[in-house]
Amino acid sequence: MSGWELFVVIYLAISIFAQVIFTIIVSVGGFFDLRYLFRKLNEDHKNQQGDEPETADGS
Amino acid sequence: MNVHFIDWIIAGLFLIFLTMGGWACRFFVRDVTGFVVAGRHMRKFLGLSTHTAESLGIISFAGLMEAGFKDGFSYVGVSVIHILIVPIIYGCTGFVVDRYRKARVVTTAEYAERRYSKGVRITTAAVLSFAGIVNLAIFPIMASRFMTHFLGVSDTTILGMPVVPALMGILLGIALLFACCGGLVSVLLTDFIQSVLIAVMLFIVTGLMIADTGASQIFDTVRNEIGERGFSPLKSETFGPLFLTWMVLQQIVGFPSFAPTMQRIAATDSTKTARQFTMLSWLFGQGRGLMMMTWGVAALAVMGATAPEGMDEALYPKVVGAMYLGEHLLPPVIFGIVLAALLAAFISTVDSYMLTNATLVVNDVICASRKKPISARTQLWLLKIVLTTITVFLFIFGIIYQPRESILEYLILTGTMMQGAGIILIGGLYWKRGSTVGAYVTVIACCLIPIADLVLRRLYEEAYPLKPAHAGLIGIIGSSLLYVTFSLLFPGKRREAGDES
Repeated sequence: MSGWELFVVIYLAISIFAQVIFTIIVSVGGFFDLRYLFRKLNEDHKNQQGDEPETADGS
Repeated sequence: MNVHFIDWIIAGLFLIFLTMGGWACRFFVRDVTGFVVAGRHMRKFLGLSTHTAESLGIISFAGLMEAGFKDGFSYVGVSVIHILIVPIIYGCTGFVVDRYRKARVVTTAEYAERRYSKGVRITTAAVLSFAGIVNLAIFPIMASRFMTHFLGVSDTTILGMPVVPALMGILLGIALLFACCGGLVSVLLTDFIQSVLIAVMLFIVTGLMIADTGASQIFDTVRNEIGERGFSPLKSETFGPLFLTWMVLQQIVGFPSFAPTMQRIAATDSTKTARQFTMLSWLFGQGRGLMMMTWGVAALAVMGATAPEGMDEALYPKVVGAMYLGEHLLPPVIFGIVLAALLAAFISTVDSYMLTNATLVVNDVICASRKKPISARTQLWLLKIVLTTITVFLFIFGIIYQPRESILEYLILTGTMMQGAGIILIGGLYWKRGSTVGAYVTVIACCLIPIADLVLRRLYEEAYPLKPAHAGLIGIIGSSLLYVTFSLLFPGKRREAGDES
């Protein structure tokens, strides 16, 4: 096995293993972040009730 | 046809579930800030998972499998550059990211107005949206061609219409529905669901591929069919030293010029989150790209290097991965899950990019051009009209497009058209002498050079001497030099970009 072949094997193995770990962490974390997002949007909605809707630059 | 009844049910149920989720999100969106940056409440993990879905379309599957099929494992050189450049330069140090997030702008073009002038904002937005749409334009047609070969229906018709444009119309219609429903909130929810499904699918398919073909046969195929250039990026014809040099510059300048990424950074809840998102999102994406590249190598081992009789030789590398998955590898049920994931991959990418480009057109071209402010309600309607117009353009482009370069080369070359925005953003944030004239020249020149390359390549065909990497390098280096030269020749009064954090 040449140097580049060895590098490819090791690089692929590490990348795919890291991908598995990342996927688990990010999927669980993303679920909680999604809940947080909807809670905050709900709060914004309540705070803004009666106000004029905001434009993109915040005006 | 490769698809079974149970696979249609799985994919159909998934689409119904996703549509209901996207539709429900409209109740959470009341203003334009909610629509385009989700109220700036996006945290790290949601950003990472949605970035996964957004940056992984069917086009990525097709492009990376084509890379593995034609060039073996040499794409790993590009992956190494991905890991080194953005996470270190932008993620670890907070270069650009911190100052950009603190400026509390929605788009790069909005920053350009604060730092340079309103004219630069409008020009930058027009160029970014044009380049973004041209970059996106290849997605639906290549995705449809990939899907028809995956489903095994490339020779059939739908209501008398050839299947590729018919499928393209259906896919674009679904993406438009999601983008119009609830803006970025809808996109974030659906992207999150899709990212989980795509991840599951990636691991299942990779496991099946190894069980079916075997790791040793995959490596033997590269040794026998491609040779040393299939492993070494230094000897690769496509991903060799020239391409890698382009990629280094493309990453440095390209990161801050890519509107969907900057929209995600604008949507984060703090500069710390923005920095973590930047660092981890690039590390996070590498494993999945390499898995798809390996599927391409497995396709070479199983399907062979020569196109079947009657198929265009140029088209074969672009769809052989789909044929390998659909005809050879996937059993029923798994096929349905992969079909649902492919639909998810298409929708999540296209709706997100359509929304970003529509935001640029409405927020930074139309609204910025008017003296009288436009009401929030009108802005939302304008966004939906522009989204529909983009969809129609994508459909027409897909029908007339004839590829003359690989998918990855097209994507990176059209990505270079946007990079004038990255150059003026970095210059504006860190170089006091960067001027308005310099910004105008840079943005326009960086857009025109890749366009010239794409046109000349079609005019001169085989006689055209340059590779896409040459045009990309000329675009980035030339535009950077023009920015410095014209800023020094035509200095203007510096405007403060503002720090409102």
